[in-house]
Parts: sequence; C-alpha cells; structure tokens
Amino acid sequence: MSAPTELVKGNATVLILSVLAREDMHGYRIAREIDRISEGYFILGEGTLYPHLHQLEKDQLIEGYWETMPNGRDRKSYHITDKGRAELARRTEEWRKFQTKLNHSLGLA
Amino acid sequence: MIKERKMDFLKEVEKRLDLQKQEKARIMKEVSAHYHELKDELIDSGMSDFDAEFEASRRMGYPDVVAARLQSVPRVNSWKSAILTALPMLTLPVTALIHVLVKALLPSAVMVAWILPMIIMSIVATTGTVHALRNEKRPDWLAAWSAAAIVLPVILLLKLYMIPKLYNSWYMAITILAVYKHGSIIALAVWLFRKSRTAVIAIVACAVIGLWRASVHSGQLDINVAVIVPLILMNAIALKMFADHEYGNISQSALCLFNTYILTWFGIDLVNNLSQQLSMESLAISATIGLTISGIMILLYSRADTVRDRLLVLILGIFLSIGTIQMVENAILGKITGNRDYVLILIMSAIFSALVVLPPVIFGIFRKRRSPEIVR
Repeated sequence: MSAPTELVKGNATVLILSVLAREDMHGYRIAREIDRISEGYFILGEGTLYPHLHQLEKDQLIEGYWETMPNGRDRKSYHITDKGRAELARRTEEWRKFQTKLNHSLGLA
Repeated sequence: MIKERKMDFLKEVEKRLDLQKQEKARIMKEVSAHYHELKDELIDSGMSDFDAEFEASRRMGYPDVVAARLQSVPRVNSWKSAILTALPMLTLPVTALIHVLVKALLPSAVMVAWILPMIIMSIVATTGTVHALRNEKRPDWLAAWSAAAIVLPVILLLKLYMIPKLYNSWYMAITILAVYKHGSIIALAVWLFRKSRTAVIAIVACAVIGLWRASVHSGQLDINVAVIVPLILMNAIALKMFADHEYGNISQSALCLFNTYILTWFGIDLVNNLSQQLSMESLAISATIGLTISGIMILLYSRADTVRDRLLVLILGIFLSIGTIQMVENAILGKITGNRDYVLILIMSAIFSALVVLPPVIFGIFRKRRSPEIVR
C-alpha cells in the first residue's frame, strides 16, 4: 500500500534531503531509494521529483553537478549542502515534536 | 497507437515546455537521462526494447502533466509567450493611435482607419485560437487570444450600432462599469483561490471600493485621491496573485488587466458617443498610455525572476496607471448628466463582463481537468 498523494507531496522535500544526506545521487536513484527505504510506501513520480529538486537547488539546499556514465551518457547528480543539512535537522526535529503531540492527543503515547 | 506513445514521450514533453531555450535544454537533458535509465533497467529485468520503452513512458506519466510540473519552478515565461500574451492588449492602443493619426492627416478615412485594425486583429486572434485548439496545444497566450477573439468583434458591434442607440445616460453606466470592472477581477481571484479568507478580503475590498467611488461621485472625495485604492488593488491582484498562483499564469494576469482597461475603454466610448463636447483625441491618448503601460507591465513582470524585480515592476505600474486613469476619469466625470437608464446599462455591462471573464474561467477549468494527480 502506498502513502496518500498529498502526504507524499507535502513531505517530498524532507524525503529527498534525507536520502541525499547519506550520499550523492541522481534523480532516478533518489526516486528508487525513497521507494526502497520506505518499502514501497512513498512513491515519488517524476512530475513531483524534478520540480522539488529544482526548487531545492534554487534554495541552495542541494547542489547539482553533471557526470558522465561509462556508457557515455550524461546525468545530473545532487549533493546536499550545509544549509540543506541544517534544514533537514530542523524539519526532523519539527516532525518529532509533531509526532509526539499527535500520539499524545490520540492516546497512543 | 502504443508505438506512437512510447516513441514520442520525450518529444511531447519538450513540445509542451514553455521555457527559454537553455532552460528547456537543461530540463530535457535531465528527464531524458532519467527516462533512459529507467528503460535500461527494464531491459535488464528481461523486457524487450519495445516493451521497455512503452513501460518507461507509462511510468513517467502523461507528457502534459509532467511538462506542467517540470516548468512550475522556473517561472520565467519565454519572450515569445509573453509578447503573444500581451498582444491583444496592445491592439487597442495601436488602433487608437492610428485613429488619431489618420484623423489629423486624412479626416475622410477616419472610420476605415479605426475599424480596419480591429477587424484584422479579430481575424488574427480567432485564427490563432482555432489553430492552437485544432493542434491540441494549450499555450499560455491562448486564454488572452480567445478572449480577444470574442471581445473585439463585440466592441466593433457596440461601437458601430448599439451604443449610440441604446444609451441616453452614462452617469450610472460609469459607476456600474466600475463595479463590474472590480467585481469581475475579484470574482476571478475568488474562483482561482477558493479560500474563504480570500473571498472575505475580496468582498470587503469590493464594498470599500464601491463606497469609495460612490463618495467620489457625490463629490465628497477628490477623484485624484480616490482612484489610488482601486488601482493598487487591481494591479496587485492582477500581477502578484494571478501570475504566482499554483494554477495561475501570466495569461490570466494579462486577461485581468485586459478586462480592466477594456472596460475603461468601453466607458470612454460611451462618453464619446453621448457627449460630442469631449475631445476624442485626448481620451484616445489617455487610453493609449494606459493600455500600453499594462502591456509593458505584463512583459516586464513575466521576465522578472526575483521578488525585488517583481515588486519594482508592480510599483512602477501602479504609479503610471494612477496618472493615466486620473486623466481619463477626470475627463469622464467632468461631463456627468442626470439621466439614468439602470436596467439596460446593467444588462449590457453584465454581458460585456461575462464575455471578458468567461474565457479564462473556462480555460482554467479545462486546465485543471487535464491535470490529474501526478504522484503515482
């Protein structure tokens, strides 16, 4: 079962930053990695992925660079910046607080 | 059919991207790499080349949806798109200038000189709209052109046959036109944003403008001061809210100003037909300046990339528009008469406003329907 569309859209930024915090990746691998670590729960379509990547690059949270693959084809990889790591930490903390309060409100904590 | 879809995916996306050449090439290079990587992986998993291409296209999604999302970050429209969008708005000032020049040089040909450019632009707008629709293209300029295709012939008809016969009074016409002018902009804003807070702000703003203008007409406020509020609101809504909204674009922004200035023009026509004492040249020049400013503002705004640049354009536009409309409204208000023909004016204004407002509304609904959820 996959996550509701709005949930994926709303959290795409933090999902992308979290996978890039581990290592540099290109667009296709970012989508696959998010799919893999969430066990197919978060599925990021290309129509959502690239606008987010471009926006993150514009906001200087990630940096893109081109590299040539062994088969001669070019692809663009992304690297998380210090600003991006700080943003990821802020959002993670925000999510932790939100989760605690929600659990408490629902009587799950 | 299947073969067509898989072969054309990248081309179809590229065709739909309304961006500058370099920006388009950069995005397409990245999407193409993604597509080929996906395809290679499918081939490695045992699919044939044919099936892998089809499956990769299917997984990437609908080309128009992918393209729409891909260009949502780089918001700068291409020069071609911006100029084409502003073109219908620039028709009227060009027409007015031709009118003034021909009247000075060749008075006997004045009617032909006025009508001919309007007819040409009507044909061009209609042909362009039909051509785009037949080719299933939805460029940003389409809404402005389709509105022009409908509105310009109506203006011609109104000016030639209906206005002189129908109106005995124009005092209420000016007031009602003003209400429709602001009301239609606000209705578009509310329709686009669909938020109760925006709706409340828009209704309150409309009420304030109505009261403000009523006070002006009854002589309680100076007209020069009074025009500032509605003009700031109109320009701000048109340029900031419409062009920056998720479903908004430069075309809706252009239409909003097109609507505003075209109704001003309609008011001027009304005055001109009912009061022969007015100088057509002075009104035409005032309207020409106003329409040209709005066209230039659209062009500048669509090219501005940073918030600072957009704010500068917005402030410039507001100040220039205030000066222009002051001239126009002073001329109109100087000729107020006492006759009132409420119902007829109300109906005519409603029909005219609907003709201007409906195309972008329909266009917007159509765009939304063509944009299903993009996350699979």
